[in-house]
Amino acid sequence: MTFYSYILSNIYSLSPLFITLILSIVSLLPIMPSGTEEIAPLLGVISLSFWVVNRPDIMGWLSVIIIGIFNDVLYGSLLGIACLSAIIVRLILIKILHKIDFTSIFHTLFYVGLSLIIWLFINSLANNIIYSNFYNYYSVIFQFLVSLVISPIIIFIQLLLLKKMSI
Amino acid sequence: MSGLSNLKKLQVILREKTSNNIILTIISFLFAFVLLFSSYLYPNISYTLKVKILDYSSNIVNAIYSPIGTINKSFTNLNNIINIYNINHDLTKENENLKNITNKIIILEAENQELKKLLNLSNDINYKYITAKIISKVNSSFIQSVILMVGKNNNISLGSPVLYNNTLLGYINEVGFNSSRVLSITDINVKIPSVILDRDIKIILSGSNSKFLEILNYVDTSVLKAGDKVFTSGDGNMYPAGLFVGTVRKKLDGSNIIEPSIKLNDLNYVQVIGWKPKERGIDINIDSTLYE
Repeated sequence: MTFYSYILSNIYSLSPLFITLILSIVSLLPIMPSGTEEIAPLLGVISLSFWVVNRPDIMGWLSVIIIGIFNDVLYGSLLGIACLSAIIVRLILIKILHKIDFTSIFHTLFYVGLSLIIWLFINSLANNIIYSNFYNYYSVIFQFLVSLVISPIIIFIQLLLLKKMSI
Repeated sequence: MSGLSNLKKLQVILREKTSNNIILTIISFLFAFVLLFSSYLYPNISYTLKVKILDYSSNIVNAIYSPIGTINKSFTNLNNIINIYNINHDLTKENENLKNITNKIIILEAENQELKKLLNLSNDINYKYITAKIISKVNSSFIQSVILMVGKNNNISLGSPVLYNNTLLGYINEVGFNSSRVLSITDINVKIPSVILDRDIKIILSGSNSKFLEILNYVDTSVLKAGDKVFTSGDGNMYPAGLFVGTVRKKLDGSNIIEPSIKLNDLNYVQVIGWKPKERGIDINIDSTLYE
């Protein structure tokens, strides 16, 4: 089996990782109206939590670490902050998943909200400790709200892909 | 429907199979902490790694940016067309004002040249610059930056000021071979030594990760009025003197903030000044650690 045929045969397994990486890039593009760029939705985090909830086998630790490092590079923050956030998000979501029997779209929305809170909290905390600067908390709150509003669209699109993967 | 029920069955099986393997969890956490502390303690190593990844991913980012950038531009154009009457009205007023100012500038410029000749003053430095394309705008509450499609291959150096039509936008914070990152003046980690020429007051501006800049030092800023223009002072050797930064605005509590005149997010191209000592006309030895 060649490297390329191996890649092709595992394309479904790799798709969540690539989708999350692409959505992380899309978050950095001018998708928001002028003047509201700092509260752009965290599409990468929404996608990450969706796949952790629905396909934790594919969105493993390695994928989570790759997404974290990629986010750190894209945002230009200290290397490791997003990586740590992503690992904590996965750890907590899996813990909760084992206690709740069933996952519906509404549950996924709850998981996404929780992930966003964890992600933003860790990032805010780390940036506050490292740079010890005044922090614009309003934009963090609004970024969370905007991400939560946008998340059903991302969940719906990814749900279609998930259905195709499971057939 | 069968697809959905299959999905639910699969989810149940997967949840049973997937658990937080303690060893893998510990390894992942250790990796993240090592990465975090090493990048904090040894910023050079993490910088090299970040720049390498950014260089490799810049082409992908550029490919995704192009169509979304075009759509965004189309919406802006559409908005401009809808508001064409109001825009035209405002521009006509502004044009009348500018005509008056232009006449004054012509007289002042002639007077300035004459005085320079009399005092035998040397000419100002003409900075060389490179026009660079923005391929990504980092819209976050943690950091305000953009990624440019130019790097060391285009003679970009670390710390180079980035501007647009003599207005300061930021400086080069990371530089790879094909791409570089500009930290915007609105970022919380950027400080700008500035001057308000009309009142001869020197201030230090700081970004606040919002749309406005804050005044950091404790000089009496009560004399400032809304509409005062702020320029770079050139102190600290970080930015050239005389670049326009923004305009003073009054908050409801009476304190002053600075509104940048151009938003980095509204632009598609910027100018990067050649900031190597030789390009600035400096031919004496200066601290080389500041420049790559």
